[in-house]
Amino acid sequence: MKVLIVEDEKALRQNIRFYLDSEGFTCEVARNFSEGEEKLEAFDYDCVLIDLGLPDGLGFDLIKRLKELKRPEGIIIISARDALDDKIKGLELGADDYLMKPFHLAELNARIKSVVRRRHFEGSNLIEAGRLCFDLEAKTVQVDQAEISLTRTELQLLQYMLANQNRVLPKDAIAEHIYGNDIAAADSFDFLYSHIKNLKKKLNQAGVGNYIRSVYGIGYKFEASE
Amino acid sequence: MIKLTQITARYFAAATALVLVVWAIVFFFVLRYQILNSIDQALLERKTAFLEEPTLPSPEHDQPLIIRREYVVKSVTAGRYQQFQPYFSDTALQVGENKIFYRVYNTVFENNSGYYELKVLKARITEASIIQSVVIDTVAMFVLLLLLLLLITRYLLTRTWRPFYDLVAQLQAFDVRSHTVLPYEPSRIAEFDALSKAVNKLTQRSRRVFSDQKHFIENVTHEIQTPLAVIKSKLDIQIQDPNLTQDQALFYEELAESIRKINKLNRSLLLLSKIENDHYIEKEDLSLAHVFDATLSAFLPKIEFKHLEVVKNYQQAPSLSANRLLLEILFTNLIKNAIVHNAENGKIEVEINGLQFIMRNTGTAPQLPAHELIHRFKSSGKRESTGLGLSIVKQICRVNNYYFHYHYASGWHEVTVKFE
Repeated sequence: MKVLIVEDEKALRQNIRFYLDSEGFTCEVARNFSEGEEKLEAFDYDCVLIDLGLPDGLGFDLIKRLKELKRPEGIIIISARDALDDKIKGLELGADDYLMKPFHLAELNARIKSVVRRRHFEGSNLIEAGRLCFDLEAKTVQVDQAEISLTRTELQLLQYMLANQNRVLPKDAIAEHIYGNDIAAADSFDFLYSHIKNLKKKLNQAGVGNYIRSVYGIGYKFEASE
Repeated sequence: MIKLTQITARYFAAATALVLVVWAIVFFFVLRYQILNSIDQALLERKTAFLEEPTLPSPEHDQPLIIRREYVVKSVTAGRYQQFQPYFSDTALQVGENKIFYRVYNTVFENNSGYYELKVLKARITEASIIQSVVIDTVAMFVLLLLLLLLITRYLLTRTWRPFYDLVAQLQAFDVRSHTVLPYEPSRIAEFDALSKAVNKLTQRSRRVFSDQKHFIENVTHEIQTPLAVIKSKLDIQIQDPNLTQDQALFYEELAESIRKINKLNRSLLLLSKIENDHYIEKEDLSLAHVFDATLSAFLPKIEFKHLEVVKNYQQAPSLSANRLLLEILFTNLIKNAIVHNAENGKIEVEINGLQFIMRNTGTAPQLPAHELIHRFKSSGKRESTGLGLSIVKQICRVNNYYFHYHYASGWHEVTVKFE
């Protein structure tokens, strides 16, 4: 899947590209508005990441261009500005999602996958990992074709981990994803630990408890290997 | 404090009074002197006329002869006649019930019968009435002049000084946060013209400075977000290293935690700045209980997890006109604090009575006195808190003129907010 990264800050651009590359995305980059425009005119992508703070033009205008040309690319806005107006305007113009800097790359990854999935209706809605199968449409999880019952939070957790398989996920990234920014800040990670513990227990009962490993000092990793 | 009109009037009145009093006194004495002088001249004239009479009276020894209360003749010795120097004097005669004052010219004359002393008298009645008129006229003039001055002052101040009063009113109404400046209004009067120009320039500069300041914090916090994003993403990549040792993992985690703290601080600062700069001004009618419950619902999982008991006591809750986002932020911060600073199995009590909101929670005593906690950057010592939560609440209250109070007593934290 092809992703275009339009971001003027070099280090950030490179970091995002590195991460997404290893996720299997094919990445291209643009350093400013005009480069972004050029690339978009020449190629098609599955998803475009647009930074609103571009030096030579408004990210919004790029969105407008894409919509004018009736392009099917998914659009995710990234921005340093925590402005509700920006967010609303971006979404109204046709962006699919809005992510505020600084964000976890795992979160960006999950969002891109989500946006792309939403746009490809013909695609399959199942994520398979080892013996586990997650039906995104029906919101059910099966291990060896047998359904296991998970709470909504546990489903969210699992989906996030599946989007970022084989990645070390920092615990605050997971917490932010599940609880949102405000609430994640409200307490230590005890709350998160207990949720993950419950999820592991249920996966254990189905025989795949080892898919979720804890990484000392940092967080967790989902690896569908025996 | 005294008004311009009053003080001007006072000065005019005092000056006028002084001048008129001095003038009246001087005039009185001058007039009196003139009158006396003319009386004396008249007396001299009458004496001469009297002595030209063909026959002069010749009273008997020692008996003064009084003629029509105008002349008194009395015989005197030759010796006295020789030594006598004519002079003026004043005397008074009792006429019936009245005492009448006279001006007297004393002289001597000689005729066939002998030597005589002559007094020529003139009553001073006219003089008194003249002086009376003078006094009345003076007082009348004083009053008239004063009235005139006051009227002129009033006219001057209301018409000529109108631009001044207008400017005062405008300056009083000027709010640097509004998007207007005081315009330059040219005037015929040099001073007012200069004043208007100066005020216009001043308000322009005020607005500029204010606007710059307002956006300064916002700009700074935005600038911080991007480098933070770079660090965060770099860390995300580093921790993917399969050969990560435990020490390295801890190292990265500590870095990550510091980044989180900076980020939280940055966001809180931005929020504080926005609140201070009136970003949240749109209002709608809200129900306190409703908004609080909605905000609380997001935290229910956390509350259950810590086994906190929540007791609600809502009484008549009228609607409040406020900004919804701001109210949610206020409640969010209070709830967060009530959860974080609470013990396991602790309690949270919420009371809403009219527009008064009280929230209590059990918990350990804060390490800092309450009033310091509320100020920016002093944290309670708990790892998860940035210490800005209460600052944000206080700021929201300040901007909306809500009453805010926090204190800790006997194991309970208590926060009171009055939304009016």
